[in-house]
Amino acid sequence: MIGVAMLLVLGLAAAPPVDTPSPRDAAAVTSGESPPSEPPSSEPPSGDPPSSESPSSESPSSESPSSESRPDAPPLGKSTPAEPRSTATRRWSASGPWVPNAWPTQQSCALDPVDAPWCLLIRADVFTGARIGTIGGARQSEFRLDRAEAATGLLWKPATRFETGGIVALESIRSAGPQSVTGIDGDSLIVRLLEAYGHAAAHFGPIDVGLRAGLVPERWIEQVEKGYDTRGFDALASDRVRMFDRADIGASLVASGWDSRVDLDLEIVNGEGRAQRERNRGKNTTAIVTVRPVLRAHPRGPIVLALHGGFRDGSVGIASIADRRGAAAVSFASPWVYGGVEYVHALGFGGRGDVRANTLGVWASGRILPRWLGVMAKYDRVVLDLEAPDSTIHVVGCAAFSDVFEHIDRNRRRVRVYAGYQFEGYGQGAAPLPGATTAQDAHRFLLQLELRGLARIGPKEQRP
Amino acid sequence: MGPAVPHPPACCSGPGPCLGRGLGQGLGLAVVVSACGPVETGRDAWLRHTLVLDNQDLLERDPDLTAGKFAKMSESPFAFLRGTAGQFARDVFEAGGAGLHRWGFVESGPDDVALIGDAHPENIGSYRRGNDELTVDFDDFDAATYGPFEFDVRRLALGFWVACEQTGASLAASAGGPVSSPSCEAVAAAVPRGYADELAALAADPQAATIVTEDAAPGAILAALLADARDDGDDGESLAAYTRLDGDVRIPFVGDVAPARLVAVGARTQLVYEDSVRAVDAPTLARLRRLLAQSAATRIDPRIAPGVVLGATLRYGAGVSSYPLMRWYVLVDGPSSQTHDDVLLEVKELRDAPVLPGARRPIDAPFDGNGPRVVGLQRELQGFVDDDPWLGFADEGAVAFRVRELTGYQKGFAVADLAVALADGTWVADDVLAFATISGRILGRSHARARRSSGSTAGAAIAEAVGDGTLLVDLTTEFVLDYGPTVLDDHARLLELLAAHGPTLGYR
Repeated sequence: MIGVAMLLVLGLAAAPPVDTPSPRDAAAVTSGESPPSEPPSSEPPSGDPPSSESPSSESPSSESPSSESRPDAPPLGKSTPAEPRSTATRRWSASGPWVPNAWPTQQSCALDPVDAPWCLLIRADVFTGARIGTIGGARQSEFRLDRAEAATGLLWKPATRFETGGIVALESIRSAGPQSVTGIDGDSLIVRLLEAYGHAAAHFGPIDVGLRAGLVPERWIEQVEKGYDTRGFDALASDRVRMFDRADIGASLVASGWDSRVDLDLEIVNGEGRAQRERNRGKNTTAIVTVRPVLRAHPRGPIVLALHGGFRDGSVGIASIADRRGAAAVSFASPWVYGGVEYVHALGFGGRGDVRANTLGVWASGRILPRWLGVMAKYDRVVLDLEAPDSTIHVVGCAAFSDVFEHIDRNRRRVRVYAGYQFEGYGQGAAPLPGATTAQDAHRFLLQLELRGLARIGPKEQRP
Repeated sequence: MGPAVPHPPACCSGPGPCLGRGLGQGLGLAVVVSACGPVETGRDAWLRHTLVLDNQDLLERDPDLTAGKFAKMSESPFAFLRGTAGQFARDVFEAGGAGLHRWGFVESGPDDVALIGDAHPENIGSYRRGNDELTVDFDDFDAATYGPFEFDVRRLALGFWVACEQTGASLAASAGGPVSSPSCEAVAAAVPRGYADELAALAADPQAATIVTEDAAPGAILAALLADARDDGDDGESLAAYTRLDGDVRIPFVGDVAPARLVAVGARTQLVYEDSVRAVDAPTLARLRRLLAQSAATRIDPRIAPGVVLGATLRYGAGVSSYPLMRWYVLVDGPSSQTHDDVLLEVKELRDAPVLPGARRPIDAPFDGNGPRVVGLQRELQGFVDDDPWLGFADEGAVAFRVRELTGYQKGFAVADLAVALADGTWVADDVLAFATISGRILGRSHARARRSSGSTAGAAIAEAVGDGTLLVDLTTEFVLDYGPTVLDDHARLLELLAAHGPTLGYR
C-alpha cells in the first residue's frame, strides 16, 4: 500500500508545477465555513520568486491581476480603494494570509457595497483512503470515507463596514450507531446537517466583530486548526476524542483586534452537539482567547505564532451532567513548517460528571521538497479517567504527503495524498479492556486522500 | 449514593478548578453567567442520563409504557438488573465505569465469542424440542452479540448474586427469618466454576456437553421447572390462557389474563400491566399475516408451516427490558381441523443489542439485521437448533420481529420463586448453588459450541485460556463482590430518581 502511495507520489513529482499563488492569493478567506486547515502557501522554500499565474490555474485570483492592483477591487476586510497598493498589500498580508479562515476580519470573496455586494460560496471536502493493519493482533483492512462534506453560503456586503450572510454545510455519517444494525438500508452513509447559521461581521477601526447564530462551528477547533495543516491524515486530539463537538446549536460572538492579533471568542450553545436537541436548562458557555504575538508577512507566506486558551462551562443530557473543559494550545504556522501543542482537561466526560480526563496533542509537519514531498508527525496522549492508574492511550502517527496540485489557500484547493503509519497503544488500566493491552493495541498503515475546494461566484469573482 | 444534588446555578460549580469564572469576570462577560445552569456530577445523574438515552425512542413512541418499564424496574433489585443491561455494559467497558475491572482472558483467549448478551437467571427456561423432549436453555437472545466470554460470565454471576441478595433480604424480612439462605458469594462463584468445568469437560470429550433433560434434571430447581413445563404444556396452558373456544372454533381472548397494578413511584402511581391482551385492527392483522408468511423461510424446518391465521392480540406486560416493545400473539390453525393442535405464536419487536462500548467492531459479524442476529445466535447458542421449531424472523425495513411458539412447555425461571420455596423448605441453599453451577455449565457449553464471529468454534480457545478455572472464579467473584453492591445502590437511586423526576425520569 505504501509502495503504491510512494509510486504515486514519485509519479506526481515528475509533473510540472501548475501554478503558484502570489502572497495575496495565499490569503484564503473563508467566511463562516467549517474549520479549514490549509497552509497559507505552498511556495518553495528556496529563493525562487513566486511564479506567474498559469493559464491552467483554477483560481480566479491567480488568473487575474490581484485585487489590490485594481482600484475598483479593493482587498477584503478594511482595505479601501483609495489605499496605495503597497499599503493595501501590507494590510492584506497582515490581515489575511496567515490563516485560511480570517472571519470576521475578512470575507471569502472580494466584496464592495456598490459593485460587488454579494457572493455565492460552494465548498467540498473529502477525506478518504485505505487502512490495513492489526487490532489486538487480528488483521483488519478497509477502505474508509472519513469525511464527505459539502457547503454553500451567500455573502452580502450592504455597507462598507458590514457583511452578512448564511452558510449551510452537510456531512456524511453512517446511519446506524455503534454496533447497531438498525440503520438505513443496512448501515448506509447518509447526509445530515453539519452547520447551518447566519453570520454578520462589522468593522470598527482596528476591531472586527462577528456574530454567528444557528448550528455553529465549534470555535476552539476552528481556531486551533488554523495552525494544523494535516487534518486529512488525522483530527486534532480534542476533536478525535470528542473533547469538543465540531458544531452545536447556539451563537458565537467574536471580537478580533488589530488584524486578528487578538481574538476573543464567546460561544453559547445547547451543549448537546449535532446529534441531540437540547435536553436540559443549562447552556454551554465557552470563552476563548487567542493571541498572535508573531504575525509576519514573509514573501513566501505568513509566519504566525498563536497562543490559545479557553474554558467551557457546560452540561450534557437530561440530568445536566457536568461537561466542562479547560484548554490551552500553542500553534505555529509558516510556509515551511507547522507545529503545535494542544492540551484539554475535562471536568466531566462521556456522560460521567465525576470523571476527570485529559488529552495532549503534539504535531509537526513540514515540506522537504516543496509541494512534492512533505512529512508530518503527530502524537496524542489521552487519559479518559485520571483516577484509573496506567490508563493512558498513546496514539502516534507519521506520514509522508504530497500535493498533487499546488495548494491555493484562497480557493481552499488541495489534492493531497498521505502515506503513513499510526500506532495506538493502551495502558494496563485503560478502557475498554483493562489488563489486556495487547488485545487493544492497533497498528495501521494508511493511504489517505485529502480533497478540498472552494468556488466563489460573484460580480468580482471570475469563474470558479 | 444519594439523591441528585444539583450544584448551585452558576458557571463554576462542582469540583475542580474554575477557569471560567475568572475568565468570564476578566472579560466582563456577564452573559456567561446568565447562560449557565446547574450541573450534576453524581452517579445518580449518570444513571438517569443513560436510562433516558437507552429508552429515548421508546419514550417518544409510548411514554406511558416506558414509564411502566421504569416502574417495573423499581420493584426489586433483580428487576432493575434486568432493565439495565446497557448500564452494565457501560460500567464494565467505559472509562470511569463502576465495573471496569481487569479482563483476565482477552489477551489469552478469544474476544469475539458469541454472547448471550444479557445472561441472568430469569433468562433461563425450558423448551420442548421438535422430538417432544424437554430441555433447559437460555431463552432470551435479544442482546446476543459477539465479545469477550467473560462478559457473559460476569453478567450471569452478577445476576445470581443480586437474586441471592434479594432473596436473602426477603427471607430476613419474613416472619420466620432465613430458613436456608445460601452464601451469595458462593452462589456467584458457582457460575464461573460451572463454566470452567464445562469447558474442561468439553475439551476432554466434545460429546460431553451438558444437556438438561427431564430424566436427569440437575438439581431440584430445574427439576421443578421441567415438571411445571410438562404439566402446563400438556394442559395447553398458553392456549387456555390466551384463547377461548367459540363453539368448535378457537378465537383469541381479549382482556386481562392477570390484572394490571398500580406501582408507587414517589408520590405518584404508575399503571403496570401484568398480563393483558388487546384486540388488533384489520390492518395490523394483515401486517401480522405478512410477517408470518415472511418468517416461514427463516424457520429451521420449512415443513413446519402455520395454517390459517385465526386472529391476533396485542400483549401488554411481558418482560422488563422489553416491556414497552410491540408483542403480538397470533393464533393459527393447527394441522388438523381440531382445536387442540392450534398454535399460538408470538411476534415480538426486536431492537439493537446494548452497545459494548469500545469493544472491537464485529465487522465480519454474519448478520445484517436484528432478526438474523437474534435468531441466528439463538440457534448457535442453544443446545439444539430445534429448541423452538417455530423460531424465525421477519422484518419491515430496519424494524425486525422474532417469531416463536408460545406454549406452556416454555417456562422461565422466576427469581421471586426462590424466596417462597426456600421459606417453605421446598428448596434448600444447595439447590440454589446447584442451579448456579448448572447455569454456568450451560453458558460454557453455549460459548464453546457456538461459532465465533470469525467462524470457528470457541471451545478450545476458551478452554486453553481458562485452564483449571481458578483465575476465572477468582476474577469473577472479585468483580461481583465489588460491583454487585453498586447495582443494589443503583436500584435505590432509581427509586429516588423516579420520586424526584416522575415516571419518565423527567423526559418531556
